[in-house]
Amino acid sequence: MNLPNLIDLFPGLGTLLASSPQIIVARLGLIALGILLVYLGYKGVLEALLMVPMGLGMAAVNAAVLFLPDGRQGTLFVDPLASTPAELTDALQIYFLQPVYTFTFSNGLIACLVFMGIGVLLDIQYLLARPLESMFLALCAELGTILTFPIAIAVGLSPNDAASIAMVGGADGPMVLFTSLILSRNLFVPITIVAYLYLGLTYGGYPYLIKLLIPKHLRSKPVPPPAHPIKISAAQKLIFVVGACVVLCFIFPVAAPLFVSLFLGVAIRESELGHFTQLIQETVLYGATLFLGFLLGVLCEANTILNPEIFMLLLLGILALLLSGLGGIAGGYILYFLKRGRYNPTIGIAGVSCVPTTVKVAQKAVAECAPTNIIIPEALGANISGVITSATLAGIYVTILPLLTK
Amino acid sequence: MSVFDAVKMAFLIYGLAIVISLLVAGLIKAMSLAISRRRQPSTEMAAAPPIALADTFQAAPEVIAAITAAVHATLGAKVQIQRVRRSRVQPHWVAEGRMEIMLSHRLAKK
Repeated sequence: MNLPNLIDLFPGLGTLLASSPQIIVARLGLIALGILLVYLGYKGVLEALLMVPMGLGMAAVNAAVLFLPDGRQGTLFVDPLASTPAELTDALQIYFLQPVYTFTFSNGLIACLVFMGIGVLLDIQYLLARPLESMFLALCAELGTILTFPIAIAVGLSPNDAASIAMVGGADGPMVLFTSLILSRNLFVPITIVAYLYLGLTYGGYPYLIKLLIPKHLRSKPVPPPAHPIKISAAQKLIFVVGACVVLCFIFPVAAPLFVSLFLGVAIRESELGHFTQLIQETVLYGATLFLGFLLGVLCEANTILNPEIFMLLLLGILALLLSGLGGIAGGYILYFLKRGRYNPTIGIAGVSCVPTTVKVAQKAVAECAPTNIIIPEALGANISGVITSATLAGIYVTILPLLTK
Repeated sequence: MSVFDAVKMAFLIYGLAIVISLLVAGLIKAMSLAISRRRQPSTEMAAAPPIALADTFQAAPEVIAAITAAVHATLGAKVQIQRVRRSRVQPHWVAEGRMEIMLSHRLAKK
């Protein structure tokens, strides 16, 4: 009896040795990156909620490549390229994460669930207190979303792909997922991976940007409370939420699933529906975040994402986020000068709508200089406005681009 | 699409976003102003009672015991509660809760 070949006994190793040098390097590199992301998430350098499942998924999927019965290399995690009904039916019975991917990820449901959870966490009181300031900061912090579009066209991307990668500048994961799903299905997987990878990195990268551009004495500036604070009841907030939701859905029907999910979360919060709030805040939001992070990691399989355009997407994604961060800080400085020094320019970074990461980043940067200085209310206002401007820009891109590029 | 066309389109899209966002902000501002005008008289009339409440508040002995235990557990020192009164700035409780949510995910490096 012949002893089985060592490579047949350990298919993960076998597929690695049978691959091209490019794939070998990519697989080993992604395994190392996955482990690094888990470590950085655990240490609190990156967003742990996303990075731990994402990193583990990334490391595991690149280790677990085997030879499929038809001779191809693949895994038993998910087949993101299955599209025909027959392929999907087979995939749903073979790949263990395929049901989650097909029924929640590729139709944008998971993004809507995350948005619903964000809605439950949002208190629009902060937006209602200083709407013009907040919206101004949010518009400044969309600089990357705007400037990356022509830059991406200049490096050879199609208008739809350019708009999808430009949305990374909004730093709003569900919005990038949604835009690329509609405009750029062929690059949907790499763009969303790049987006969420970078959203995790904002936790680590933006504090350095703040320290680089805002001196310590400005970071420790207190923000004076509003001269005439307005107390708004839950009923009045609910009226605003319903009105804003209907108007935005009316203007941008394509982005209506996201708008209605966000405002449903806010409406549930303001209606004091305790059971729903608890369900969405604890189960839906954290469940969706877990599967989102894990699926994104699993999608980082070398054979799936090794696309010649991926390197360009990585560069454009980081450029978009950098420009948005710069725009937000510039907006903070403009308000600082307009208010004759009675404003903390650090709040500007919270205009980048990565809820609530950029708020935490801003508060952390301020607390390092002045531990008793609380800027969270102002930062949350800018952050919520950022969600609105990102959704507006996503709506404009997906509505106007197909019309103008016909 | 040429780069020049892309720049023009980017400006068009940004312009549209600015107009829509400012309209939303204007709507919010108008609503806030309308609310504040409606509330002004009743707020002024209702200004006195909380001050009176702060002065007349009598804490039950078990409440004082609970507060003493909480302060001891937090500060780790022998403490004596000398005076208990209601806070007139009630939103501090809300702010504290919000802070807890916002700072819940580990920020500190291990």
